[in-house]
Amino acid sequence: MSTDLQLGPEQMDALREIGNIGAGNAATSLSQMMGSPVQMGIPTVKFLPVEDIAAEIGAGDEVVAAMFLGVEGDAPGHMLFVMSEQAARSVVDTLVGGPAHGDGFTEMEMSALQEVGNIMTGSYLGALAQITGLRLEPTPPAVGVDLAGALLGAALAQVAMVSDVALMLESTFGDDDTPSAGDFLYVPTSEALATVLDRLGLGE
Amino acid sequence: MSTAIAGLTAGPTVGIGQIAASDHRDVVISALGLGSCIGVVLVDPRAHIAGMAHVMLPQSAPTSKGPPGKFADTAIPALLEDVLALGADRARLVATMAGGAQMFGAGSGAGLFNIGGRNDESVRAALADARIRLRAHDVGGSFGRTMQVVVGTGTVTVRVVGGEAVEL
Repeated sequence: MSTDLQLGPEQMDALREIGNIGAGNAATSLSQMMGSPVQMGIPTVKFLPVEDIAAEIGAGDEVVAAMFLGVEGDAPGHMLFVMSEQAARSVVDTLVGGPAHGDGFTEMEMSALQEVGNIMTGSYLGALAQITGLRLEPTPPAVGVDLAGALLGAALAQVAMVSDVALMLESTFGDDDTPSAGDFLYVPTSEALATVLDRLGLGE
Repeated sequence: MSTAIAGLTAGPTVGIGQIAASDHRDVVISALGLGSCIGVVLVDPRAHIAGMAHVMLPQSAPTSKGPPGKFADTAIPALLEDVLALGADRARLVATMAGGAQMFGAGSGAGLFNIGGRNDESVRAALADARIRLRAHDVGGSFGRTMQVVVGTGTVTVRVVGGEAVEL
């Protein structure tokens, strides 16, 4: 696996724009599900060692809901959608009907979170596929509610099995009350990244 | 959950792939949220020296990149070196490990290898290679753990979501 990929400012801009469009689509889907507006932060693009990603997004021992899936097709990789426990609670209460009954998430609520992950990543990848003309298929998401570090660490270990260094396209979501309620990561493999850049006419 | 323990100093937080060691008695070393990762603690109780590694993957390859703490087979020798450098007596060292869970359910299609279980095996093998006794362990399951060691006493605790700190 090539880990010495150098990206110029033009390529970084293009990737940021892709993140923008993908996350914009996902935010629209989320606000439709929620029936309330969801705002999106400016996406960031970073190239960093896989083991540093959790620290970079500040994952510690706060409780979060995480949806993790693989991307298959022409530009494979992984996607991770992380929501604060409170944001996940509020999405689930809207979808399943609430308010809830005590701590934790029921099986039905976990399925609802999985469906949220499905729709969000589907919209993100749909936008990316449309821009690049590449075939991109999400695998069904795995979902967990636990310590952020634990869920991210486990997801990143999967990523680290195929790559030492990762390009991280990060977008934050939220509403007026909680501006950073969610975090969306797309981590393509190095080959996938080269494929995407090539399609955009920005390859080597 | 990472509340300070009364009278003690919150010491280093050991991130993924990192190693920290100390000979300051009132310091607490922590790993926040171990999932499939494994926290390994080496303690020399008499010298009041302790160190912790936050292992991500079971095995390094010749082409692998990253700090030694990232892989079980390189983390244990590096951690050992760090505590010995602080003056720990090799014959007195005991190990404690926690983590190695399967955080995401099977069959998700996200390319889920059982990394937690493999990390568990690799850490045990590396400890055996280094002839270090595994004193206690809390591994497996499908939940995250926060691990702490008090350097002065060598006391290791593990906490899960909604639970109290349990001494190993």
